Amino acid sequence: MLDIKITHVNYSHKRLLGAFDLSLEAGEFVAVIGENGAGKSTLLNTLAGELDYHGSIQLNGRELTSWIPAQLAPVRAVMEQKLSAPFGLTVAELVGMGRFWSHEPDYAAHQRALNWLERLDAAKFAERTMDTLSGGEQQRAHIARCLCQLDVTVPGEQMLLLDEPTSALDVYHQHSVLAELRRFTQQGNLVVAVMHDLNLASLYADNILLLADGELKHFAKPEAVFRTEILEQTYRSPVYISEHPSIRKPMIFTEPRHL
Amino acid sequence: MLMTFERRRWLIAGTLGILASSWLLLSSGPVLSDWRLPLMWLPGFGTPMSELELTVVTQLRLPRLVLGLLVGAVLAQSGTAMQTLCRNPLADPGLIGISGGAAVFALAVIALGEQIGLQGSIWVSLAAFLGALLTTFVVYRLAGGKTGVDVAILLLAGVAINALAGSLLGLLSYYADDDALRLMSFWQMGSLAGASWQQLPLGVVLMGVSSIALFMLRKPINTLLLGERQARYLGVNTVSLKRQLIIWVALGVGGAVALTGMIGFVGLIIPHIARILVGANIRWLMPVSMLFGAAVLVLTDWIAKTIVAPAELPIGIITAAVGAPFFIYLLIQQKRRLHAGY
Repeated sequence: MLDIKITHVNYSHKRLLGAFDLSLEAGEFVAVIGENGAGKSTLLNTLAGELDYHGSIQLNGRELTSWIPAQLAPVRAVMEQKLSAPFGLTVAELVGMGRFWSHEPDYAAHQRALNWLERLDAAKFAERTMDTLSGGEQQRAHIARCLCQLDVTVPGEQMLLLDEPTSALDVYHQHSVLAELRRFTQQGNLVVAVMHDLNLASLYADNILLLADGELKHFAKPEAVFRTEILEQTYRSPVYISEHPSIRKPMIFTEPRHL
Repeated sequence: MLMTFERRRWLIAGTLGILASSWLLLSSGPVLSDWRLPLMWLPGFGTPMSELELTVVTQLRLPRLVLGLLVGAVLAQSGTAMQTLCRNPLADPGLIGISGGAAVFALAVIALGEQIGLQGSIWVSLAAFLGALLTTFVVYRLAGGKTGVDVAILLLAGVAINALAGSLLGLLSYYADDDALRLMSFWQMGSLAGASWQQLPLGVVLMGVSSIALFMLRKPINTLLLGERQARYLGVNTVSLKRQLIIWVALGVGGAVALTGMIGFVGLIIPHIARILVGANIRWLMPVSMLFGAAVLVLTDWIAKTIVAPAELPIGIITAAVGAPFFIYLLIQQKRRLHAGY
């Protein structure tokens, strides 16, 4: 569904990303992991079409640069790391803005927004304004906005790019949001999410994309990437790997640093 | 939805404000004051109007009212649009130099029109539009970067352009004759005293087109609240949107400046107050700003012509007297970053 064959991405003569050659399939949940500054957000920005790349990135068989914003909006939504919280804009209005491309009437967009807020356990603050919400609530509102944007009658072949979607969420909402994203991939869509919580990535992602210094190091199932030697090299810390007691996924334990 | 009800209340308040200030402007002034004046043309309402009353109301006050409503609405609307584009409440057409640029071009035609063969109000308006367009473009390009508009540069560019405008106006006044000089000094402070039915149609067209166009764009403009990049992700062609926005703002402000000179701070204060009342959603902010802008400008105009009667103050003096302290207050508030994200 998303075919990436690039040699590099430069920005004002600085090399940001190296060569990538991989295909992300519809129905896949890809977690992008790596150190701070490894190029995770840069990769996401590139996939969002914000950075000039050398090579080819094809979304549904069509080069990314040949899409115009209005065509991309129904098939691709992006949640940036830094979330905006405009003064006096209600949550339902924010989520409804996702429907901009559809030209549907305001009340229809509003109804759809309320549905998505309901599904993300956010209905109770639907009429509150964005600037009055906590960080985690703002995050859920923006995830609802992305899902509302991609809400179409015949789902499939859609792409959702998320930069740390669960960084401000409590345990309950981490799982409810990630479950919602899984449901989205099961409809034949692609999710690419930058994540720092390796255990959550292990539990929910189909494939892990590990970056270091802008280079693609690994792209494989969690079982193949979450290995002691790989993670110790990436994160420069001692790592123990065990298995989740019920679903048999790798669980990562780290060592506290002693003073 | 409680929110909608609360916001609708401010639309009604704005409409009532317009009615009240209009009534005030039509019915009272330095010469004739009678609260029944706006109704006297109706049969059965007291004595029929005398010739003098009829002239004062229909030839002096009514065109002035129409102009005031239009200029107030357009300045507030342009302010709203620019503030949303720049994602900053300090982006006022006057402060960032749009009005100044418009004034220089328009006054050049007034002062030198005879020499260069461009006379008449249509050329003055066209020049004001071109001046506004040029300065908006320059200021926006100067302040714009990869991450959006840099506010410090935006305001500094405004300072620079206003200074340049000031010096060019000084230069023009050196070449202007006495009549043009009088006109120019009035222009720099803004006044609605020149309103007449003859010059109104052009202004109505310029400002009307700008106003309708901006109003039609309110949905895409709204997405800019989330930042230019997110607006693009939502499906907006931001390059084209910004271009259109700048053109329509320049047309509206240019039209306003051509007819009334530089009336500062309306585009700053009104959208700010409206934002506190109804929030940043353009769907509400734009109409409420327009209604409040129209009502406040007409009220201010009434104050300008009655406070030192029989003489008349330029309206720009009053808006600046109120606006400048308000601007300082906004700067302090920005410093404290009370409203994160805007």
